[in-house]
Amino acid sequence: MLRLSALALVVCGLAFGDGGMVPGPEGMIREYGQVALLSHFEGREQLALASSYTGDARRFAWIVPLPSEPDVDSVLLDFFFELQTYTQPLYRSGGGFGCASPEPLPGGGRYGGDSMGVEEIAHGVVGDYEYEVLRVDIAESLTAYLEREGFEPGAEPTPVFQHYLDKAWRYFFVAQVRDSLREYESHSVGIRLSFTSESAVYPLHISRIGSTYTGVILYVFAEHRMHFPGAELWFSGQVGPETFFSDAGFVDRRCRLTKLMKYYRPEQMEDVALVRAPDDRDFRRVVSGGDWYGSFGPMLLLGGLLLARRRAWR
Amino acid sequence: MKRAALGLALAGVALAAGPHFHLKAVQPLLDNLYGVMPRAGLGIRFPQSANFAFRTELAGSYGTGRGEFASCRAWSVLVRAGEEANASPLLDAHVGLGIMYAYARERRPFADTNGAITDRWGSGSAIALYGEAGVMIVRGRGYRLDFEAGLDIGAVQTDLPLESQYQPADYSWVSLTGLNAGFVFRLGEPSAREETQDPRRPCSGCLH
Repeated sequence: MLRLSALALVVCGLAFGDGGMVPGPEGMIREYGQVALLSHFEGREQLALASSYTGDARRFAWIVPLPSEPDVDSVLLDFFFELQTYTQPLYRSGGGFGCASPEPLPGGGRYGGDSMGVEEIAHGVVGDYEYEVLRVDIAESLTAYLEREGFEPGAEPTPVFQHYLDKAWRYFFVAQVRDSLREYESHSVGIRLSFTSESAVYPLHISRIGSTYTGVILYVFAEHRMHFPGAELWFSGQVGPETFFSDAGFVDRRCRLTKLMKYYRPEQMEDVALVRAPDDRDFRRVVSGGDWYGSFGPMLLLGGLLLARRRAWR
Repeated sequence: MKRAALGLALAGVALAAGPHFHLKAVQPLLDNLYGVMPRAGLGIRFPQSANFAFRTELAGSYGTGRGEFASCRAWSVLVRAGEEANASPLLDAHVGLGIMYAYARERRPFADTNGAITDRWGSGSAIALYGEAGVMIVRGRGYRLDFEAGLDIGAVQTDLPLESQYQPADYSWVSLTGLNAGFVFRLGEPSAREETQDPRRPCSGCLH
């Protein structure tokens, strides 16, 4: 069972990630392969995230900047896998996989006080993470706050924090893996952040902290098919509350699901502003399933016939 | 008068060549993109003897994608040639085996990185095999209607690129592999009465 859980962790670790990651003093951490679920209706955005990372750091801070104060809740990673399966390309030979087991944990939080110019306005535990929601006015004060909490942000994050403060994104969701969490425990719960936003946005600039060359996959639920510059469309289709088993209220109406992907180097990472696509056409990728018998079958049959004929002549 | 005679002569030759028309439904076996496709064709059975016929025909089929692939289209033109054996006089049945040359075109939607989805056509050609068997349903004066079912095996690779993140670029293909069934209407066939009078072949389907 332990080995199975470890395998699940490795496989899941290859799939998800988001935000920026600042390590503790005892190691390094690199984030890769971001997947996020995003819904935007009537000026309210829901952003579901799950973390993945590689490195030897046993402790790190996971930071997500937001344009307004968020409500924090959990989301089952099963929903990520269900979406992955639901939107998978048409393989002419078929296929699909899944991992992780449902293990929902309730979210929570309480309001705190001022701390070094960084105001802690909520904290709690969601799934594998302890989190804080901070209201920040000065970038350096957030960096100092992280140092005070025992992390080693260095000089890299401050300009990134400043980028968000410049556009009046003053709320930062900061999470770290619970100390009590053992390595082999299932990381089956992600974070769901709900906040007010005029348009559908995805905070990617923050991922300049601690990222390598990364593929970003966004599942977007909205009234129309959505797009952002340079993104490859993987899926577009109508969905509703009845479509998924494990969405836990993430999809509360008939809407259109768009799956988009784009690869980034860290210096290319800018916040993603999603816009309405030119049309609402359904789309699913069609990829090769390696139909060797369809292509070579006639040749094999012809070869067999010729061989049989040749033997008959002998 | 001369024209009429020439016309009659040509009609006689045409009927002697054993013309036939078919209308079938094709169910692709290895392609989950397309549903049942209609197929229509015409051909000749020439030369033919009492038990064998060389059958040549031109056929075309057309298919549309299923569900969210509704904008997909595929059509193919087949030139089929093969030997047909009237193996069972008791049932008035036949079996055939042959080879075909297929030209196929396919339309699929492609998405660009500007957010647009456009339909693109691609085409290709290939050689494939077929086998079929049929049985007579009804015979009249100069015509015959058979029910025929068969299996085609092959695939036409088109010049439409297939996306894949796991392997090098590949090209799309239209699968010809599938079951087909339908009706074949033959002209220039001897009636049951004429057939019983034909010393070359035994009577089939008639009462004694």
